[in-house]
Amino acid sequence: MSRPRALVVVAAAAAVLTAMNLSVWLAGASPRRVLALMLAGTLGSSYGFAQSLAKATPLLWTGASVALALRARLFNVGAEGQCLAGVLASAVVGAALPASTPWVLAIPFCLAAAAAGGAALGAVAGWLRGRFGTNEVLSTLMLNGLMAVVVTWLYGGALRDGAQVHTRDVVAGARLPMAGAALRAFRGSGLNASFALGLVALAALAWYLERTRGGLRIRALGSSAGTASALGIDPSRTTVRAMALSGALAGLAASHFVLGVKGYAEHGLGAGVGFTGIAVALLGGGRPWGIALAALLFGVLAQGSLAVNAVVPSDALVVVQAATLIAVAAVGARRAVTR
Amino acid sequence: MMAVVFLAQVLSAAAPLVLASLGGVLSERSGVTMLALEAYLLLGAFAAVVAGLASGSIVVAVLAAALAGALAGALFAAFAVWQRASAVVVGVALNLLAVAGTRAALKVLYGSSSNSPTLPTSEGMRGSTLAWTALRDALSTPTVWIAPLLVALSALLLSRTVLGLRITACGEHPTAAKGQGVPVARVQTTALVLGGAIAALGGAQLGLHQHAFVASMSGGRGFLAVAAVILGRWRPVRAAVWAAGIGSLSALEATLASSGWVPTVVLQALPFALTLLAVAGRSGKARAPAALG
Repeated sequence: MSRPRALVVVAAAAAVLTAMNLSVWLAGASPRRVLALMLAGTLGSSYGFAQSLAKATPLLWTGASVALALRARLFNVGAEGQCLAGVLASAVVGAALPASTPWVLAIPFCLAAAAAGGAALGAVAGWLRGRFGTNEVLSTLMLNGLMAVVVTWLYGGALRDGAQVHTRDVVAGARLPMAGAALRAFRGSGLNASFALGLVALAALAWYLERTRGGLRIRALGSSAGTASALGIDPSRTTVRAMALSGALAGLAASHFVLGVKGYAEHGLGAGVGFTGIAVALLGGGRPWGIALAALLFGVLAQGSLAVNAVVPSDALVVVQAATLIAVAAVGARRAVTR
Repeated sequence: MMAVVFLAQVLSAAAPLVLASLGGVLSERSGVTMLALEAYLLLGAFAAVVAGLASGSIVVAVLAAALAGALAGALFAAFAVWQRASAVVVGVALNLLAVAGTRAALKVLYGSSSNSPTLPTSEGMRGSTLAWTALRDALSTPTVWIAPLLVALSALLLSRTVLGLRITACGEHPTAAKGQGVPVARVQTTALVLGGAIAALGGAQLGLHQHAFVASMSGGRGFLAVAAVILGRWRPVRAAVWAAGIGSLSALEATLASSGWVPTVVLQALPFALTLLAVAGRSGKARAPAALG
């Protein structure tokens, strides 16, 4: 670990602890008791540990999504909306399949749908950037807003399953295996195969970026306009590709929500993981293991916030996440991760 | 009568966007990318409602919002200017912080993480269906008046004062400004603090108009205001006009939703969709402050 990265990690840890103590104290509770509760509720039990991994799962996907775009020097703040698109697409496709579809077909179909949903939204932002020079931060923010409105409307109306406030269940074959089914200790937790898929995706992403021609194009786009043109790269097309791939990864976070935990889509499902993914990508420094560890940290925080909810409002710990993000940005500033 | 109701709704709906976009213009003209307008709106709304409930005074409520925004702007400057963190990241983080922070504070202060108690309203105004009462109600919120006033003042500040010229210089060519003896970091901090205070007044409008604070009540308006800044090419008056235009779309939503002529989802999606189209259509012509980052 190089020194600046070590510094980032230490500073992030310090920020987490300070922000946590401060927000806990402001909320009128004892920091020591809250910390003890948090540890017991996360790393202290096998159920808490599995739940922490479950909370980390969508962040693996959105962290990878943001990290990929950053390599092309594109700032994808739209993982939020792209994840919602993935949730929508996989829930619709999963419910439309014939009930007897075997898993070897159902799961790939649903994963493809999730990826396509996210990729479509990402590609729009990439196309606007390539064709009109529209800032992708702005366009993805607008698409987030648009997506939130559309899914709320669909889940409350057209896609509503009778008296339920969610969509129809996906077919049984499309459900990813739950960890609790194999390991008794993890029973009841939300941990499912999407976690393993996410880790594989992170490794594949690193391989794609470093070892393939497509990855080279994306990195060239991110390094400088001169490099890109020297390699004969079409910047518009590469921008669309990078944003579409980034969107696909964010959309695949739906595999955790729709195919793993819930089996259906509902209002608010998948919200929030896109913005946290930005923190994960920055803290992870663009490396696969870094992103995995950062996702785990935020997963522990998210699960911990539920464990202490009786004492401190769980939102107080989202404040901690935000503080971490700022601290990482401040310490990593001179290394200029973004523009 | 419908026209009067609509006018009242336009005034109330446009003011938050206009004030937020003004805050954005001031910040970005100094060369700092400003995505935290959503956070300023939320913090302003929260501060206004808390202060209003505690003091019972609308003036105190508005001042509290401005103070909260100024503090948030100072926090933004501490990281984005003095620590040189990426302004985009600080903006995203501040938005997260505001959503969660106000919700947690709501829980601690009032025991509910979704909404605050309602502010007392003047006699006979609430629940009335009379169009003129709606207009009077809209005009009774001081931020509706403050908004156009601040548009004019910001335009004058940027074009006619030394501070305004320094802010522009920092946004266009910080190295040259530094060479001329302009304290760049201090000027940017001033712009961010001022911008935060103004944008948070937009939040005060949201809270005072609804007579309560509701979690996440900014509902993406801060992002629409960011778009208005770009569409208005970083000029206060033009940005305000775009913001007012986008604001009228939400007023249209409020007016038409009850009539049932157009599906609500179309009306809710309209501001985002049209803003996206407008930004795409005009981005070739936009000229951002040269050193924006």
